[in-house]
Amino acid sequence: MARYDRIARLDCPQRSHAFPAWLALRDLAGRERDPELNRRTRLRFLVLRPVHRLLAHGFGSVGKRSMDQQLACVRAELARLAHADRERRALARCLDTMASLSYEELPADLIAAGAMIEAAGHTYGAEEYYLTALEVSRRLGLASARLMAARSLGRVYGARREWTAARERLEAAVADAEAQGDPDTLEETLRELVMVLIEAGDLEAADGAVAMIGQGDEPAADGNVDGVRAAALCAIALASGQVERALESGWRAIERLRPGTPSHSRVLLDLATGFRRHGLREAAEACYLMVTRAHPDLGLTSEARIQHALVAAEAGDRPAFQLRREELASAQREMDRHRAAAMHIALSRGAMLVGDLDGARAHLHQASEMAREEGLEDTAADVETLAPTLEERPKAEIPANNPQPSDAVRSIAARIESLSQDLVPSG
Amino acid sequence: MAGRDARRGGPAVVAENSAAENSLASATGLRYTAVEPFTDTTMALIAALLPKELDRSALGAATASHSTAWARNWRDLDLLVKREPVSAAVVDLHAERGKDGVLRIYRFARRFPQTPILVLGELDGRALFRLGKAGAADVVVVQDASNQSLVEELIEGATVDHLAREIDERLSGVVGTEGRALVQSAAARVPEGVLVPELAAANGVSVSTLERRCEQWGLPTPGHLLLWLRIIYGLRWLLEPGRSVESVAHQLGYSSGAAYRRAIKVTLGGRPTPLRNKTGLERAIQSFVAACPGDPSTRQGD
Repeated sequence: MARYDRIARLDCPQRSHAFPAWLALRDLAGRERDPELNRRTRLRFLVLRPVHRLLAHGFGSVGKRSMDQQLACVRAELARLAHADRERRALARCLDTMASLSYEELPADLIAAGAMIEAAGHTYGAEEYYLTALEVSRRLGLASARLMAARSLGRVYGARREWTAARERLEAAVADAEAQGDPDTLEETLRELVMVLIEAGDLEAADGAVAMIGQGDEPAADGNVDGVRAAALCAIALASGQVERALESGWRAIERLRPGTPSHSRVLLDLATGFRRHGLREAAEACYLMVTRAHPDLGLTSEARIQHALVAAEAGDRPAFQLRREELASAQREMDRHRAAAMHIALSRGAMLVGDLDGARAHLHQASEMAREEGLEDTAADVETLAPTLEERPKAEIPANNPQPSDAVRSIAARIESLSQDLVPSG
Repeated sequence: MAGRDARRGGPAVVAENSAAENSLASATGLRYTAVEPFTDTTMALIAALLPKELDRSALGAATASHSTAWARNWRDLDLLVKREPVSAAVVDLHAERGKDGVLRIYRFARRFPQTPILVLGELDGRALFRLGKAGAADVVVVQDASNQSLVEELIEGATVDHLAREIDERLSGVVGTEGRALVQSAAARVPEGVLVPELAAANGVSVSTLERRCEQWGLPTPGHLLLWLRIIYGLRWLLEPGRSVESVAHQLGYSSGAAYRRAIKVTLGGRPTPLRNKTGLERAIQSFVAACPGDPSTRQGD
């Protein structure tokens, strides 16, 4: 065995250049020695292999006996996971569907398994499941499953900040949703597209997408449509620097969207950003707490926790920042590498703000390592920006806030704090 | 180096060279030797590095329609692929104790990027992840090794002649179905150094009938057809850094590397000789298609 691993230094291949289902293993990058992840990624890979076999040779062309033999081998390995393991059940469902030859159910099973993998923070495994679901649904002409797979892909690319890919998938999903004539799905997909367009910096296109939301409906006939539109307007206004307008739209969305849903939590995150710009720390913290305690989505929860720690640093509250930093460090294993890298960047900023320069350097180093291992361009750029600041200006300035929030903003902040007390037990 | 399986059927025959081929021989320095005839148009040569008998018999059962050359170690595998017209390789990741099999596969894939390598064995998540990065074409986890249909499918996938398909696509609209089938039949035999009489025999016709049909179907003469295919396949092999001009020339039946270079120059013309780049291969395919007179009825139908 070589003294050092030359393979680890190689770039990961594109999906089309690797053997079928390899992408499901890519979450191992940088964590190859993690035995639990090793076992899980292998199982995810093995479950997808028969699906790729069907795709390669045709759904009616693979011998039943050989397929059953392959499925039995995977099932035997899957049995090594705990019986109560939710991922095991989702993967087993995929195998059962293949064994029963009810292939039209396969894309939905794959998407469900992918969602479970995504919730564990493993975006590449989830991507492979969604892409496979997309291929199966295309092959079998299942329009609704194709739409779901495209939306899931848009979400997973968005989580990795791959905006162009996310936009392409969601635009395709919007076109599919329009063709299918399902207004609810169209609204949700448009909302997801708006968020991606905002993140990608194309506010004009985002405005266009918002205008499409609720088209053809009776005005205010559906509160949810209004909520979705308000959420999108909030995000656009925030991205274009109109904080007060963003907070107004955001509050309108909060009143209309169902608490605990991803849409509701995303609006809370946007509201928190707006409050921070006005120096309203308590309101911002209330938003973050509502997200961390009310929503099971790991991506949103992690984002809220990271920002929750940073807001303490911005207020110069070193003990609170340190406590939240430690909590985050213990939760890092649950995060995907992109989010973990973003976390280190944020914590480096936070540590700098509270004067912990060694801590700031340590976080920056970890972010830099992850950026190198994973080829994370955004993180690498952040590291480059932050590193000179850390060396040249050890006492970084607290970001400037608007010191005079209007009465309307104060009123929204108060209502959010009150809502937080209603929804979340104190402590 | 371990030898090839003797599964190729039929008695050895001495090839009779056609007049066209003899004239080409003098122009290109082609070395005519007797080769065994083929029994199957899709037969491919697979190089295998499988120390365990169980794996060898599993592969043997799944590759009954192909021939297999066994290597004793990683070095032997490299030499085998360099010297023989190997279509794909099958290896046990743990073939040699104390050696990082994934690293060996990475090196193999760098030296022979056109030769798919299938990996078999006890593969945990890390090994599978690294194999993808190293460039393995596909994998067979140990539990699936006894699944004959599955292994057959993977082998068939790895031995697909993409170049032959590419040529076929380029010829569609120029040459009719029967003519293209003949080109495919010739392409399948070129790696083994087929000659015109064997090509005629494999298609169940005499040499003179084959020549007449080539003319009728808008193809070059059988000798020229084989010459073009040797040039094209040789250039494809030369895209692999692990192969030398000498070894490729030898595989194609030329007396030396220089003779093969001359053949390329005479056929394609121009300078520099288009070795070892995709442009050269592309130019060769284009020139071949342009050299086919084509079937007027097919051209009209297009």
